[in-house]
Amino acid sequence: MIRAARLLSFLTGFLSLSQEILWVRFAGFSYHGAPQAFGMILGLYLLGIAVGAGIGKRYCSSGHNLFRVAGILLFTAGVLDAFFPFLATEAFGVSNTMGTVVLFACVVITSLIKSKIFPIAHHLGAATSGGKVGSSVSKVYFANIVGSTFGPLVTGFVLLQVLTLQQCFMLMAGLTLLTAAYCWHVAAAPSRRFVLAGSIAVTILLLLLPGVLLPRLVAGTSSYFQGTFRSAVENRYGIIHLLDTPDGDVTVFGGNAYDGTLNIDFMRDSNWISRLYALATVKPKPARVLVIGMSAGSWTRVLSSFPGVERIDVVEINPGYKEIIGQYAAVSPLLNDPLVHMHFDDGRRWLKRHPGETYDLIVMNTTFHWRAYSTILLSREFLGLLREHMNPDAVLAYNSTFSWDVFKTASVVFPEVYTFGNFVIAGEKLTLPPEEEAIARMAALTLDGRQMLETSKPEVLLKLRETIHRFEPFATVCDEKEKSGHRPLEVITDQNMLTEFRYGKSIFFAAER
Amino acid sequence: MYEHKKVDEVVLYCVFFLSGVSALIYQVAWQRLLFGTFGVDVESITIVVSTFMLGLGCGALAGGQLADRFGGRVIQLFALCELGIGLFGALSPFLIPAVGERFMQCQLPVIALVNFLLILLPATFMGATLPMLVAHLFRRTGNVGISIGSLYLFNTLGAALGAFATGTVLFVVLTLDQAIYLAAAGNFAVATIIFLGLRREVTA
Repeated sequence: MIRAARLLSFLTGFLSLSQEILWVRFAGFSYHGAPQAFGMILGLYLLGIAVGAGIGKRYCSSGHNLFRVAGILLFTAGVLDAFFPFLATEAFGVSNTMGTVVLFACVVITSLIKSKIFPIAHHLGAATSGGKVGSSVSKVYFANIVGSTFGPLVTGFVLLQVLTLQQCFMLMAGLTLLTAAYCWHVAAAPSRRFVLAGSIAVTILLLLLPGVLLPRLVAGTSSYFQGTFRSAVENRYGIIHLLDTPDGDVTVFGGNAYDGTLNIDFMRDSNWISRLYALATVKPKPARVLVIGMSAGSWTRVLSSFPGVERIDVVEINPGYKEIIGQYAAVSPLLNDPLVHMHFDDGRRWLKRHPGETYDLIVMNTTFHWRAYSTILLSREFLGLLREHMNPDAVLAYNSTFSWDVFKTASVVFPEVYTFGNFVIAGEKLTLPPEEEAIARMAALTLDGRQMLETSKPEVLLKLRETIHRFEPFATVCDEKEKSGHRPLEVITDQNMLTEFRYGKSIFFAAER
Repeated sequence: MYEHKKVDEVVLYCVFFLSGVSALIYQVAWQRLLFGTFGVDVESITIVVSTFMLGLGCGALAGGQLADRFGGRVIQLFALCELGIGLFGALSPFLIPAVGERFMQCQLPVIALVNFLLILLPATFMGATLPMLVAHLFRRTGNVGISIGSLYLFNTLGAALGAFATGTVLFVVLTLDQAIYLAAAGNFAVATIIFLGLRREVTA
């Protein structure tokens, strides 16, 4: 009986923490990576655990067969576990508020029911005689924590790599039903074989359900872009999905936040790729280029057209993008380009581990400034690290996503900072060439032996002239901002994380439709 | 004898609630510190979460053994654990980045081991507190399920508050290090309340 209680404690820990990992991913996706999502789900989960443990203790003095009670509780949990992800998804389809209310309720109920088992398992597994209460309780608790350790490891590392989010949810629901069947067996309750066979059959059926969760969730939570769900790559690093837009573009999303559009055409410019072309005016012949955040590769493909490029190091955290790049002719040559060296790693860690690597041009495809961990790439400390990897006349360019604090931070690290739309362009010394020279530099971009810009066409020339006049010194923009009543701009640091928390979006706003 | 040294049950629940608040502030804040140092990929996240849990497990085993061995003095041990957590917490803003810089160039298994050793001590102390208090409270209730259910309820409610507050309030008004110092202050407050409570009961 004591061993069965320890096993029950292990299994509920495993299932509970696995489910938490899945809900964190679900919420992170639904709220487009808002930094509050993790703490909110963790808090709700703990709230459910607290209330569940409080209720569960009452069973311990009720005189019931506690394994049977555990079986009934886990059976209920398993049914709800299978149902809740779809319920929350559909609720987000109604409205953000409805989605949030239902999601929060689902998370609390999920954890509450399983945590009712916690005091029951400890009661069943404790030796209350012989002065061994402490050690016997600790062994049941230890089993629970071992389960809680393996839950994130197995689910976060293995299951999310080989199964979709929906399949992981269904697998956990099935395993919960199987644990209920085990309790039913230990309790010597009636119809034990039938319950076991039924649980196995339901688990298999749940795993075979068609993959509807992600497309429905995308439809319910896409706030900025209209489009038709095309495909997705799900792995342990996250979820990347693609939409077909009404304009005929393919748009890429990482963690349900806009990542880029598959386009390298200057004139089409549906992804503001002209920002990359414009870099040729300030850095016409970069020998060594570093790209942090490859996404679907449009930027890197354009950078490979710069004259004089000898090497492009690309650091990307999610290897799933490689799979997407391989599917589209506009960017797929990157995979066989001898100049391009891909490193699947965290950007900051990669730089710290390669202190000797220096570059002439560094480009960062930074995500929205309000998303979780954006500080890691936007802070003063990180820009200082980048500066150590820049040659004396190197240029750094990255996306501010229209946060003026991002520009301000760059201005305290680099003497020269320009704005180019939402791009930060910074360096030790930046010189903007005369108009004709700037056009000549952009016209020199060639890809696979073909000139990227047909400067003989008047419309191309017109757009080129418009493009090169978009550079503005940040000092001027900053003065205008502050005169217009904007709050004083602040410097982002690893300590204040201000674009994520102080001035970031709340999870409620992040998912506004 | 230990009847004299029993701290009032309500106070016990309150301090365990506060301990839970601090624990979750640490978890969220240490994650940020460790991610900034070692990287924000799934390997780092898994290492941090699993290490935290494993430390809690080791602490649970040790706490149970200590609770049986020290019997009536288990409440003092609990207060010492809180003191230990608070001391580590107060040092962690210096310790974690310094250790991270030192081992940055190492391979993943070494980084995992370093993470484990860093978090092991405070997580062990945290894990030890529950069986200690269960053993202490069991002497009064005579029912393990009820004792652990009540304690777990308050500790986890505190943890839930810590998790909510860190992302929505603390990181808005405080820096990362300041949030950690606040958590450490919580641990010191718990230890102080327990020691003061014991002193009052002994002199009563």
